[in-house]
Amino acid sequence: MHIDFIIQRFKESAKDEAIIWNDTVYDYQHLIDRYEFWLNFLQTKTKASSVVAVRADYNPDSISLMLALIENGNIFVPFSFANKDIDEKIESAEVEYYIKFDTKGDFEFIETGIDATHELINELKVRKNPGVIVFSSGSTGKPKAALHDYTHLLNKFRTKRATLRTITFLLFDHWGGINTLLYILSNTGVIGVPSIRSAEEVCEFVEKYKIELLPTTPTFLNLILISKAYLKFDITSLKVVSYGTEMMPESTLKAFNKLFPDITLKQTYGLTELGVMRTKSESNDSLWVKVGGEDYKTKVVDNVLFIKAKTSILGYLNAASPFDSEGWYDTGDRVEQKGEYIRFLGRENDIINVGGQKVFPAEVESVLMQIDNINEASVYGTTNPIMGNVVAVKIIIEKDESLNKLKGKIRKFCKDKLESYKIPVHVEIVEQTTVSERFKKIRN
Amino acid sequence: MEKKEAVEIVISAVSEYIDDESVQISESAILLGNDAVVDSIGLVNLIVDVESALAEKDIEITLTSEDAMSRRKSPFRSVETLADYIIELI
Repeated sequence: MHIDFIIQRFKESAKDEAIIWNDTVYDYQHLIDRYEFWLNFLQTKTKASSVVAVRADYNPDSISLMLALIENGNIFVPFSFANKDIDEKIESAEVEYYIKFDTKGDFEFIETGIDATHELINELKVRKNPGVIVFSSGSTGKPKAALHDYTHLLNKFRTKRATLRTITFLLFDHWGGINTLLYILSNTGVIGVPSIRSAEEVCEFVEKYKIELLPTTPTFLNLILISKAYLKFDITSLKVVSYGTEMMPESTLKAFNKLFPDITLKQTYGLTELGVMRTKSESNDSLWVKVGGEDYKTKVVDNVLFIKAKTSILGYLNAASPFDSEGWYDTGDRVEQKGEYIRFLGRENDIINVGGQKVFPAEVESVLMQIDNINEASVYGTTNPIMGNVVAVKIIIEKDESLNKLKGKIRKFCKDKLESYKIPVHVEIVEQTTVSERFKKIRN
Repeated sequence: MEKKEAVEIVISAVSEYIDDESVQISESAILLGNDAVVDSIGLVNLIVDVESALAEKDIEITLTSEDAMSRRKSPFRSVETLADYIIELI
């Protein structure tokens, strides 16, 4: 019922490439077969409208299972292998069944003994609609279990559109990743799942399978630049690189655009609570972007972006509603405005207050990363008895260099590019990367 | 540590931070207030630099303690007072 239109399209494209996984290409007929297996599995093993968690990476089975969960009217809770606190999340999402894949694609079926009784879940049951619960990482406190009505999301995909051969870069539990996946499936495009997600691996995969769209993070783009993996593999099949989930350093954007002027660079903006918005970058090497689309309203209050969305979540299962009485959501993202365009400056939480002056880590990082021998810079605030806080940075260098020399170089370089309070006071050289499993920068 | 050595460490940190050869830093150079040779963020940098220079000589001290901040006469007034304060802490 819910996804008849998608399955119909699968049948029309049964012989077409659907997913590249484990160096094997599977067609849409394979997805239909697996989908039927899982639909039957759910109908015999789970209660109607029950909450079902799935831990997996993208693979033909987990994708088919996700579709079967929607069709069967279940509430789907995706986990990835990067999740560390699954037990806690199973409790807060009131997960009743847990399907646990291993990396080879084999699975285990677990009944948790939990009964889902939350009023928001009941509301969805009354609507007889499928749902999805995604966790909002949030920089403070416990992850929040955000419940979406899946039918809102599906409506977006009823109109058929063109697709590009796309890599699944975001993990299985990421709302943006689920959006991308459903977009490609509903338009019977090609999904590529690289097995190890390093810069080299991804570039090799792009070359081998002629990938056209790489949705990624600024940190990962920087890793591609540093590793020079693009010299070893031909990645010119790429037409679009989209980036989001964290601040893009201007230096990285400009460097990538210079190397690959024919690749369109597109900033995306999405929030677990609201969905993924339509965006338009002013140009390839610009961070100015228009955000919105017909389902979204935006306003800027005190330099903070607020959004009202038609497709927002029903609410959190373990926290108060994040919307004000008029339905506006405070994104916590600081922005600058220029006509219809906005530019993201950073998260409110990441701002460093140096003696009353505000410092955005991304601005400082972007300058630091232009300095010779600096591969990565991760800027954060640290307390100081005189200024309240001062700027500190962890740096990864390319070749050996003494800390004193590096510090002097940083001061000299930043002198006419940053106000003095933005220039790092504490500099530390680190060996290991400051990058998370999700290829996002870790600041502390 | 002799006072002379402490003064030298502070002077070299100030000179390095200012990075202007035309400015000669002496023992009496002012570090706080209107006549200071550095601004407040400069002072913060300078203190961190002096701490690192001392650490290289295996002297681990914290100059910005509550004691330093709450004294009626700040030890950060001048190169000389800062040098005295270092000696006092060691």
